Amino acid sequence: MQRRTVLQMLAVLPNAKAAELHRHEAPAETASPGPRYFSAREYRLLGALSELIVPGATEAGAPEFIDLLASENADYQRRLSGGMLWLDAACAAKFGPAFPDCSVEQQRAVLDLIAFRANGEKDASLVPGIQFFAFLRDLVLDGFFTSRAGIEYLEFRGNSPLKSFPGCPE
Amino acid sequence: MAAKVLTEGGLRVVMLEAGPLLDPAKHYTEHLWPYQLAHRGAGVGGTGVNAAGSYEMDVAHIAGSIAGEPYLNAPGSQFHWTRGRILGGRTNHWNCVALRFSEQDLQTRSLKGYGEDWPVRYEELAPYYDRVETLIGVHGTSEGLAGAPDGIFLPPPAPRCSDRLIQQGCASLRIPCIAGRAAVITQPYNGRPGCHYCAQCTQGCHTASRFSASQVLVPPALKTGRLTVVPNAMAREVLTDASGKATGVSYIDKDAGVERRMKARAVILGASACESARLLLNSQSRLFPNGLANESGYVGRCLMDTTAHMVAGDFPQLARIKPHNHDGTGSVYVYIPWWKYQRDNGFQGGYHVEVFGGPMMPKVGLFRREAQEAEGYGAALKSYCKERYGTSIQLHGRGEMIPNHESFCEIDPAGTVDRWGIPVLRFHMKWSANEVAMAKDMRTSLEEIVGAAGGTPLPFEPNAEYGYLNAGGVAHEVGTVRMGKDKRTSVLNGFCQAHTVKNLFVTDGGCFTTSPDKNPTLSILALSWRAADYLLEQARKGNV
Repeated sequence: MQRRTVLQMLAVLPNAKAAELHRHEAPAETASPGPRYFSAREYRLLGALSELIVPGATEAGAPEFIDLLASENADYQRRLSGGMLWLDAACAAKFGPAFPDCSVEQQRAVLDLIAFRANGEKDASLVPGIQFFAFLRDLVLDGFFTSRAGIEYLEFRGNSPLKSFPGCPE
Repeated sequence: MAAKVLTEGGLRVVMLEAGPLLDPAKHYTEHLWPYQLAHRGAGVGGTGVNAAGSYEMDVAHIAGSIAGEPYLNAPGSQFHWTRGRILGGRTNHWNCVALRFSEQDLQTRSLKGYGEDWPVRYEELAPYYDRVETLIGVHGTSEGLAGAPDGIFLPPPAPRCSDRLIQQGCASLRIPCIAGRAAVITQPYNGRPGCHYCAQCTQGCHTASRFSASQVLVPPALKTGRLTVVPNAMAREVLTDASGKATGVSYIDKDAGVERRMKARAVILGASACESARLLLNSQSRLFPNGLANESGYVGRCLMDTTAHMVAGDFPQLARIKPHNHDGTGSVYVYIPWWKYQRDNGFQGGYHVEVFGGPMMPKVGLFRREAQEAEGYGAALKSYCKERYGTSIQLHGRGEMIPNHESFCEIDPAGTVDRWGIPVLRFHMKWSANEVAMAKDMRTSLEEIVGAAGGTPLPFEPNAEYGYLNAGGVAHEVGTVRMGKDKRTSVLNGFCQAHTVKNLFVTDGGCFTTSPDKNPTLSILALSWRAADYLLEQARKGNV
């Protein structure tokens, strides 16, 4: 968009939401038939884990975001795919079935073990799972809090041009 | 700056630009939401940068890594070099802090016994600061502080909640905390609309309400009809004749992939400090075997950056303020000028403090610390993040670096060239004990300010360099083609003119004699304007 057009719009419109007019278009993403990197099974697991980590994260697109980064980064692939298999093995050892086939209570029981660093100090065999979970948790938080839903959840009020700046409201 | 002054003074100017012309619609990312990017700002594979090597939510063609254009570090050196390859360079991206150097900054050797004296006095520079501020628009308040000379100011914006807390804390400690001085226009000015308060100056400004050379200086120069901009022209060397005069520049036409030559009566380098040093070092001839105008051996030497040390504080009281638009300008609202003059601080020089923080636009990595603190998962983690959102205030110490002989750039002795066949730079960078002592003082003082402002400083584990950002991290590199009174220890005179090549000038930060704590851009503009006035006068007299 031409700078002049932007200026005209800023001049004409009330200050609220003028940003809508000259913010960039969303990238033209062709709807992909499925995940770029993860297998269908892994991707379902990623969705379930994302939702457990931050309720609303799956709907907000965290799995797509994580899949995209993983498709471009071999280290992410190793840590995420490896972590999911570690999770399956841990569930199988504890309860019999792999993680997706465990009950929600059983899933939470395993996550409660790997969601806290202190548990690794008591049981070193949990450390790989703890590292995986911390890594995934950061990615899910990134995915959620950079989404429209996440930004609304934080009640962020900026990125919206103002004609004048009132300063601190209190 | 020089192109504007010279063309308006009647001279014809050709500007060689290593990157494309600026197209704000294409190159600026202002007002972008992270969810409008597939990578959300995390970059390809989480690297932070896009396929072209630029930060995703930043201005295009400004990056640390440029495909096919490497730079090297000598063992033990970790210099980070941010380069702009776009018309207007890094002024398309900068943070807009615009502080005048004082007489104390310019004469440290005479007045305080360290560093070097500039060949320019404050009274000579002041009229040019006046002119630059009048042209570009700088907000601030007149305070009468000797170390932070007042300028010609537009009204500053009203402080945000986070800024007010720090001001209150400073007031209780009797430390000055004054309105920020920044090249952001808070009202319509010189044909540009006032700031629209989106806080994204570093992502580009469609309305040019924050200064950039591409939007504020190039258009009037073009209007004279005497400026020709040649984009995608990567300068290789400055050409000279048998008498030792500069005769033009050889450059690579990047679009055609061929070498071309541009003849000129005078050559002005404004390529950024290290690129200008590189150009001179690569301009070797029989008369100038060590590089052009480098009889002193000082081209590339005395590389300096602003020192940077940050103290973050937790201010949970910020979360109790109702949600509101906190963005404001993208620059500093309040800042703490250096205040410990006339006392023994255990180090030379000083620093100022820039205040940032509060509820900024969410971005990747925002809740790393919260995830570490809360751990767990689910609704509790999610609401913990919200509770903590926007409750951090960061105090950024920005300090003086004293020139030292262990910090310099040179042409890589192993002969590495870039994709254009131009020999590349290798950096040697070392903080001295003075800079480390200053960082420790920043830590103590800034933690005290955080406490006085009602916050809790976040824990800090010092590394060997006491938490300094790697040199180059602030991208204020200066000093590599320095001006000085003594031809034996400097390259340029006080008019940015090479001592030994009278029609050669360097008007970027390379010309700095020292690196005061103050951000360099305003002084680059003032020095460049002064150099261009001098060149105009010399041209009228027929001396070049």
